[in-house]
Amino acid sequence: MKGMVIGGLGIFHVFLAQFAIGGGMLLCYFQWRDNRYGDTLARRFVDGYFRWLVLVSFVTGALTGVAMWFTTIQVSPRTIGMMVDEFHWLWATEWTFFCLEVASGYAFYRYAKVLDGRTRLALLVLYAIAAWMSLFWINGILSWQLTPGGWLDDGSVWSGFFNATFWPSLIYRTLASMAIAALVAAVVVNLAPSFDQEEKLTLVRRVFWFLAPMALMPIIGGWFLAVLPEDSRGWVMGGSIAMTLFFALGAASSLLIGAYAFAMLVKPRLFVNGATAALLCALAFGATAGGEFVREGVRKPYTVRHTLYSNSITEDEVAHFREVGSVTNDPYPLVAPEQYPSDQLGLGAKVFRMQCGICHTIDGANGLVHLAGTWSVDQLRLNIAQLQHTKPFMPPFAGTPEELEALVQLIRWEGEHRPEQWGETSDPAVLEGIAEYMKAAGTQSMVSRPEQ
Amino acid sequence: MFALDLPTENLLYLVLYLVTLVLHVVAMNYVVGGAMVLAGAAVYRLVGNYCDATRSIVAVIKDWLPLALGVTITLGVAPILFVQMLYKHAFYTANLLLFHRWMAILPVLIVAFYLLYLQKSEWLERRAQVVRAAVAVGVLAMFLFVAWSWSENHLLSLASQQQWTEHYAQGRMWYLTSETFPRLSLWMIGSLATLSVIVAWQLRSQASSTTVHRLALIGLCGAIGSVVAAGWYWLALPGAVRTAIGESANLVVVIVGGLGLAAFVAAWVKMARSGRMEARLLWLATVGLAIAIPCATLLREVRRYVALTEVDHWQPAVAATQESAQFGGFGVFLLFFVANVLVIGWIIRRVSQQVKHAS
Repeated sequence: MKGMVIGGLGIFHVFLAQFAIGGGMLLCYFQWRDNRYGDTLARRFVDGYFRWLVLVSFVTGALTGVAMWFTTIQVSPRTIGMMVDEFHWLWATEWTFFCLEVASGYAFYRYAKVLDGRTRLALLVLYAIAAWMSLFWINGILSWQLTPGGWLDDGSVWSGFFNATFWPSLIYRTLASMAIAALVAAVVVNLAPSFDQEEKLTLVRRVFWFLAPMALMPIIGGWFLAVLPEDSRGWVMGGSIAMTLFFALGAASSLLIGAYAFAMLVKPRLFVNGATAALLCALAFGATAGGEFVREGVRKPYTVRHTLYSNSITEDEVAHFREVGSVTNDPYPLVAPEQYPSDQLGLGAKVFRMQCGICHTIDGANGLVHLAGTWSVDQLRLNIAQLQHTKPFMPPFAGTPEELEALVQLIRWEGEHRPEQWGETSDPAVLEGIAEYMKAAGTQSMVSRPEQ
Repeated sequence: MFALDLPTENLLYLVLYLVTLVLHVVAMNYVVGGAMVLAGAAVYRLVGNYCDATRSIVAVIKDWLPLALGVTITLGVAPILFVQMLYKHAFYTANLLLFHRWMAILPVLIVAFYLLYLQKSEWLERRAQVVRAAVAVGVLAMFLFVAWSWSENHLLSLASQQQWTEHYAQGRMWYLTSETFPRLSLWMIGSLATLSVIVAWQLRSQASSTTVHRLALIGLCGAIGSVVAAGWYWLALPGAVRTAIGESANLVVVIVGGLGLAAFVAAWVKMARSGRMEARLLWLATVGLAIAIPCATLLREVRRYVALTEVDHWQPAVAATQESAQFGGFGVFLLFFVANVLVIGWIIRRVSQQVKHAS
């Protein structure tokens, strides 16, 4: 469930961050026009748009960035801990660019009116570089989670950072940033009372040129798909309907924006009013949402491919937990344990908390009761024991047969609306059967790394 | 001295953590102290009028507070990174245990940030005084909530496994100990001292004698108030921490910090008497503070060190940090750190020259 929170927040943050990155580039172009041609309209646009940039990206953008960090801790402290361990110096490097972004941005925000054209442009260029460099660094860390590449063999930071999806992802995000900045600019221009209609037409036409590089998106997107691991690509291309739908949503939204931009650029008198610009922005948000959902989704069942499962259990630990139990050494008791009529259900609740709770609820969003409540008890035992076969994007079950049976009983009890009486199942033949199922499934996920 | 028994790699992260934390604290003090002054002034304005000195102090703080908050947040990223390198288990556990309560600081900070922009807007200036006071008090309340939450998170990260287990089992949303209020008071009141010095530098060229008196009052309240709060905190500290602070090397930190604070107080008293903002005295106050803040930050770490070295996962955590230090990237960080510091220096110089020229 917490995973959904980070997904939602992530989409919002990415949209704002990309707006800031593209916004910096857009402002450089307009300031250059002012310096080169004495374009006062461009200068007025820069001064007006920059305030929006500061108010949105410096405040909400910066704080949602911090929020992403804190939310990731909530979702998977082990994942963020591993990322910090591996890439702390690169994160620290990104921080130096945050500082540069704030320094150049605020210097422009406070003093732009009294600065000469060259200094204004220099500040904006520095701002744009700093914003883009923060994308550069974080992109390497995020794409490492999906395609850790050579890092798996040599453990080198740079092998992990410059991984297979690094460049297509970086270029695609840069193009997306330019598009988002242009669309937001079209909204801002339409909202600004200081521009007359003719000025609005001129400005919107100019900002729309920033949408032209979108023509490269299909190529870069194709490159990204081509370098994805085969299983991940399979899910996007129809293997997982949710993933395919979100991918289609992103692609269709981008296509619509691109088509509108094309029409706009070839029809000189076509004007984008505020409502249309806002609608295009909403589409861009939809495209971002689709893209981010797919990026997060195709990593499954891992948060760091071939290293850490999405429930924060490592590949090596699966076999160990099958021997000793996943919650045997859990120091935290259940909250309100009296709600469970038997110790077995309490154990099931602990197993759920340990292995499922990151992505699932019991009977709410993505709830186990909804997903597996109609299965027979034997189906439950088999499907959970061989979870990685049941759903290839799920990690293998990492616990003892007793723990698995406890989880099965918890799902059934919840599915029956929590009756006050619920007997324990302790038939040795059942546990033996579960052990056999698990043995047959093995401890590796279905997308395990091929033997070297 | 505490922490000197750590491996070299861990010491490096600790030093980086402390240095970046001090930078964050300086900016944070401006924000918190500034919000306190603005709220106090706005409430006072409901019953009386400002003098010119107060007006100029309020105006400059109002003008710079949004930037100060932006800088505070940005400078806060680095210590959060290094704290994870050093104290992952404790930090993450406290985060998880406080969950919604902890995460609430983010929307609160976003609202407070926008209110700071609203506070300096002409639109708000045209509203009734009671509305302006409500905004100023609201901003302060939000910063107090954030400060409270940080203190709570920090203290919970120092608790024992048994306390964590109890906290979780009872589904508590708050973590209140005898240390919470004195600790919070120390940081809150101490922020006024930093504020006084920074505002003094901002207003130096135009400060009247009344301005000097007002700033001296703010600074001295901060310094003396923080000494009182520190005394209160001392009484609330666990015995083991008091013993550790009493050890000779740590005692030196207390004495040096105390001397820094004494220099700060002496400088402000002298300026208040003369009614003039003399550069050398202002430098003395600044240097005094520049000594006192790192010392206070070091002593803050003694409290953590004593708590965490007693727990089972301390040694594995030390070893893990040592291992992480072997990962590459330090050279790149150093390169861009120096380059970006130079570029930021160039920005400040270039913009200052042009602003000077324009005025």
